[in-house]
Amino acid sequence: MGPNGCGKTTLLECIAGLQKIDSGKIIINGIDVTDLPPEKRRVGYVPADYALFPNMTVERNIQLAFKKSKGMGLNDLQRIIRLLQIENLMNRSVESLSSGQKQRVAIARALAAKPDVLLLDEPCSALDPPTREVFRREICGMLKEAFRQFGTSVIHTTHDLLEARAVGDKIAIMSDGRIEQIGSIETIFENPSSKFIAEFLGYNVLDGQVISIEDGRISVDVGDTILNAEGCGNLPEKVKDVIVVIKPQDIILSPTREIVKSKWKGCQCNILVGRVKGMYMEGSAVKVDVDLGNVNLKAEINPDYLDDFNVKPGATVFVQIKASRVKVLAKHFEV
Amino acid sequence: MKPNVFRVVVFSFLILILIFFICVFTSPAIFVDPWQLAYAFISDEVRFALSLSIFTATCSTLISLVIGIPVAYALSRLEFRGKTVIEGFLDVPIAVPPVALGVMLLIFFARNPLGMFINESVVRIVFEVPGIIVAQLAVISALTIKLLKETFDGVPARYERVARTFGYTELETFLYVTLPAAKRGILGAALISWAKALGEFGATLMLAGATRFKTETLPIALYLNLVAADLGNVAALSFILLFTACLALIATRKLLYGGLAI
Repeated sequence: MGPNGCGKTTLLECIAGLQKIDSGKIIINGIDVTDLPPEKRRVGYVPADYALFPNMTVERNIQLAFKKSKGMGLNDLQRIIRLLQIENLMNRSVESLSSGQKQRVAIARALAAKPDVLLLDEPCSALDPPTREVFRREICGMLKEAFRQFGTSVIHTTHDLLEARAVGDKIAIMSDGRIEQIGSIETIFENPSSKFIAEFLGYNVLDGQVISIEDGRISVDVGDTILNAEGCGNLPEKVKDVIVVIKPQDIILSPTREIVKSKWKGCQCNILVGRVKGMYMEGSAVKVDVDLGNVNLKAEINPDYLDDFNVKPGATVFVQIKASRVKVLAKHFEV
Repeated sequence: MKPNVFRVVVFSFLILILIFFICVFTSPAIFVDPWQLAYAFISDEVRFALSLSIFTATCSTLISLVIGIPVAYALSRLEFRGKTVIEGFLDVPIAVPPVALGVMLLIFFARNPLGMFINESVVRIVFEVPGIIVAQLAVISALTIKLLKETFDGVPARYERVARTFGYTELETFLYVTLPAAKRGILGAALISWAKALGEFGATLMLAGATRFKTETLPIALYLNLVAADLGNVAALSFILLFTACLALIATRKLLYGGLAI
């Protein structure tokens, strides 16, 4: 997953053997395929626009792929066709298919060549929202089933967070041609390991200087505002420049200094005063921009909350953040 | 409503041109004796010219395709130093007047040692039927390559890459994926090249000469019969040439655009 232009397509093309690499190795199932041409790698590739061969039927498209499969019988082929639910599309010309149908045919065709790895390049970019839902709910299941039956691993690229979250067992975040972090979706969302990832996820990212560290408790100056953090054990001892990451959902807004969440009693808390700069809807949540002087924070609040506490632009609010929800990362120095 | 002057002018020009060409195309029928015309259509000379033209045009088109397809594919897919220069160079034979091309071919085969070797030891070209094929080839090949390159440009490289991942080698991909996808364009290029070869006159005249019943293609026959003032044959030959041109056009349009309209 990564923003447009970060190199996702290039990475897939390198794995498929369609692009030469400058250095390094590509190893699939223990075999070094770096010097092998694409036709010898057994890697299936489905581009974003599916690339179904024109002026041919669905059947002919799949046949062309099936001809080259080794060790795949007609039974297996039938299973794939049933799995992707394209039995009644076989005699249709590819031009007459809808995007969702094209996608399923493209995936079936790639699987018909019996690859060890299946590469899907932004498979949902050509689909409308309802069909994307279908992909997340059904096709994802079909691919996991394909893995179960044929042992085919799938690498799926996207720039859509929701899609990655719904589909991926493991996620790698890419930026500028580098992989920033690999892990389960929960790990990445909870503990983004770099400034880029935190920003990509829409979190608050602030540069700061450490004032004091003691027993995992840190005080950081983020620009005339001091934030206290807890539980940051994995920072180097004499660290000075750091990045502070706060999730918008962890910022509570209140009309008074009084702590709103009763569960927080006894926990260390940051309470700051600021002014509401603006508010907007994002999906089903309300995002609020709060100006704290030298620092701006994005908070996310539940629409119901607005009934209790009428937040308006220009109003003064108290920002409450639990110390244990403030993450501190060492600043990366690029070598 | 005030008449739109611009539209009136544009339509007048259109009608003028149409009338002009209609008059020109129908003149042979109207101003030549119908019996002369009918007799000419079944005369030995016209029949010979027709079959020779079809034979030579088909040969030169086929050779043009066999050479042109790999060349056009390379120009379309490969990147190499000097590619722009080569592409520009290939535009020259299209722009050179065929008669000049024919003279240069004649000098090559009659004076250049390599050309002389081919002419004397491999196959007689100067003033012979193979010369017709060589002349037509020289005139149409650059155009064929250009049209074929455009066809291959229109087949996205993506299809070929996907085919490679199935396990097809580069050659297999070219045969099973690229060529079928380029089918229509190739046939269209073939038709246009064939029509151009059929009508080729200047280069043929220079290299193959204008020998009755020997190197007499349709255009050459037209020339010879005009010089001999045989109007019946001239009219018949004009019609045949006009007819084959229309046939090639209709066939090309149906192929490339699936109908008569673009």
